[in-house]
Amino acid sequence: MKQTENKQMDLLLGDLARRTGVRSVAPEDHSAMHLDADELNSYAEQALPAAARARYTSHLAECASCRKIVSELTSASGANVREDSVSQNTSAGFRQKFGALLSPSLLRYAVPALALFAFIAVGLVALRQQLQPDFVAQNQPAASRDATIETKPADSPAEPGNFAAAIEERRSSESQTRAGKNIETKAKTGEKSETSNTATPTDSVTVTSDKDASPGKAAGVVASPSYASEPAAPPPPKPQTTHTEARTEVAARRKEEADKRDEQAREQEGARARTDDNQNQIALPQAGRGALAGQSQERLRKLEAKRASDAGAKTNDDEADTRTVSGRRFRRQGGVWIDTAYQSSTATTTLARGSEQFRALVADEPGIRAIAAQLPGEVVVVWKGRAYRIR
Amino acid sequence: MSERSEQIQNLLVAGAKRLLAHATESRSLDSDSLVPRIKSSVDKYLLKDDENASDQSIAEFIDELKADDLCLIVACERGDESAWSDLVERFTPTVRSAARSASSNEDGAQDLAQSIWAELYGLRVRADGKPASKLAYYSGRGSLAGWLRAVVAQLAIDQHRKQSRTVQTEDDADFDRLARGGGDGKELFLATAALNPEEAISDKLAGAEMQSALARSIKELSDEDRLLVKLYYFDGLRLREAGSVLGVHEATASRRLTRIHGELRERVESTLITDLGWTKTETEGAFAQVALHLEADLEPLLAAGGAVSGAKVKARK
Repeated sequence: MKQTENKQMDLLLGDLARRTGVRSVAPEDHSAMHLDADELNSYAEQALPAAARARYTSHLAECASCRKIVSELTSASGANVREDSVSQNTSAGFRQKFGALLSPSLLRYAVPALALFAFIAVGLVALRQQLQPDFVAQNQPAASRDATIETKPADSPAEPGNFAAAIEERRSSESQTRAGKNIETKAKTGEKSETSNTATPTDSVTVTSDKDASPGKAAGVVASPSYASEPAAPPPPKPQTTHTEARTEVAARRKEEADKRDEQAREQEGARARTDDNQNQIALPQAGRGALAGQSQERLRKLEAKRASDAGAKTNDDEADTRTVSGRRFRRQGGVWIDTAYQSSTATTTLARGSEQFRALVADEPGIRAIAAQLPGEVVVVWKGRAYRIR
Repeated sequence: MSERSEQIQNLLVAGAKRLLAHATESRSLDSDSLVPRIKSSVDKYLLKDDENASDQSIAEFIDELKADDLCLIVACERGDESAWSDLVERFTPTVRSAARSASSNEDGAQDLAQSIWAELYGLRVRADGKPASKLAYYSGRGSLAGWLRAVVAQLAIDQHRKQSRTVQTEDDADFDRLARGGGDGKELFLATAALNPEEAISDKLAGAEMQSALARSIKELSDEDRLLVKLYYFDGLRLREAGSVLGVHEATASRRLTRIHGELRERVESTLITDLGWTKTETEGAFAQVALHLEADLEPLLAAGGAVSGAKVKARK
């Protein structure tokens, strides 16, 4: 109701102004009655005493001409006032700004928001702590982790803080003397293995030594016992016997090497048995993680065994790919036995086994006959500065 | 010299000394050179309304004067060339800006600005043989820049007045005619009244009587309220601008305007009921009817006003 009345009055006043306003704005020639420039400016700048101001207000209410000037001057001076107020605001002290931050209107929203944020943060931390063991337990036996261990056994940070660290801690607290003996034993083993030609025992000792030196590489501890318990590592028997039959010249030397390896394997087996015993004692109290560690160790054993067998096979392959016959070394490349002295620039004569030329050659050079007899298939042999390709 | 006059004189001298001490540049002026100017200002703005103003209020009034601006103007009046240079250098942009605001084109603005400097320098000579400079009217109460703007605005109005005596464009005449609604202020209601002639005549009369009562009611308002109504409705200022003229915040001006609406309505109703014998119901009905017509006719009226304004601007160009 009040609003309607206000609106009606607003419309009426607007209409009245449209009818009479322009006439009153029109310049009138009674300059003597107008305010002078100083009065107008003083009024616009609010610089007059109250009584004088009231006097001029009465005139301005009637005089459109003076009112117009005052309005313009107020607009101009009002800008200055706003600028002043802005500069005052910017120069307001830190106390005022800080007070504004702590104003009730702001705190009304800020406090609940902070409480909610704190609650969420605590919840996230608690959730993360709960999830962390599961995360380790789920990922420890995973294939990808195993693959990582397999490819980078020493550098892998897998499970550094759990049972490996516990092993280290327990080891240091329970049986320092025993551990010292173990270290000595391992060191001895390492010394011996350094003299060995096989790569696997050397790896084992190196990892163990690293573990002893720094707990951060304790993942290697997991690898070493599983590797140590694998007895299949040392001698690759079958290829060696085959070679012994095939190469009578190196048979004696091979036999000596085999004997040496057997001896080393027996020594290492003894040392690793002690290490296993030691680790089994450590692993027993860790009920929950023991099973996990057992699984992991079992898996690692298999992996290491596979790696060892791969390494052995590779060694055999290397040996199978290279042969020495009649004092000459031959390398097998693409099914062809090629003399290591052979160069592509060497003049080559191609012969077929059983051909007239072949028979004539072997009749003159019995050494070539021995080579052709021991190396099956195609052979390239350099003989007296000339190469012969025998097919 | 009476005791009071002597007391005031002492206050003026002491005040002049304080002003010179506060001034950034006193321009070699002494207190005697400032006292006449200060006395004029105190008489005009303080003692005229309150002859028995306290010493403290007089001292405060003097201390609130713009010391630097006052010293500059007094020095200029005394023929200090360096003061003149400073005045021209510092306030030429202000004068140009004010002249542009008051003029419709750049040439007119330049002429106006030149006229201002001539007026200030006092090229005209008074009856006593001294130059009739406008500088003599600066009291130091407001800023010198604001005073210069006011001088420019007044001079522009004077020039416009002289021109409008001889020439009135056709557009201006049309605009005045439209705004006045033909002179009697009744066509608006008639144009939109009901088709029934009796109702149309009735509305016309009611509207005229209401307008008359409203005009009288406005005159009965207090000076400040009347000024607010004039600024807002008659001069077309926004509430913020109108509030600035009155020295109040926009929100205060809005509340004051709402109160004025209520007061005016009461006065109009009282006039219509008491003087013209209307009933309360008739008064309320008339308000509603007139407001309805005005609301309906506002759009075409504004459109017509806009068209005329456009034509006026074009004619000026």
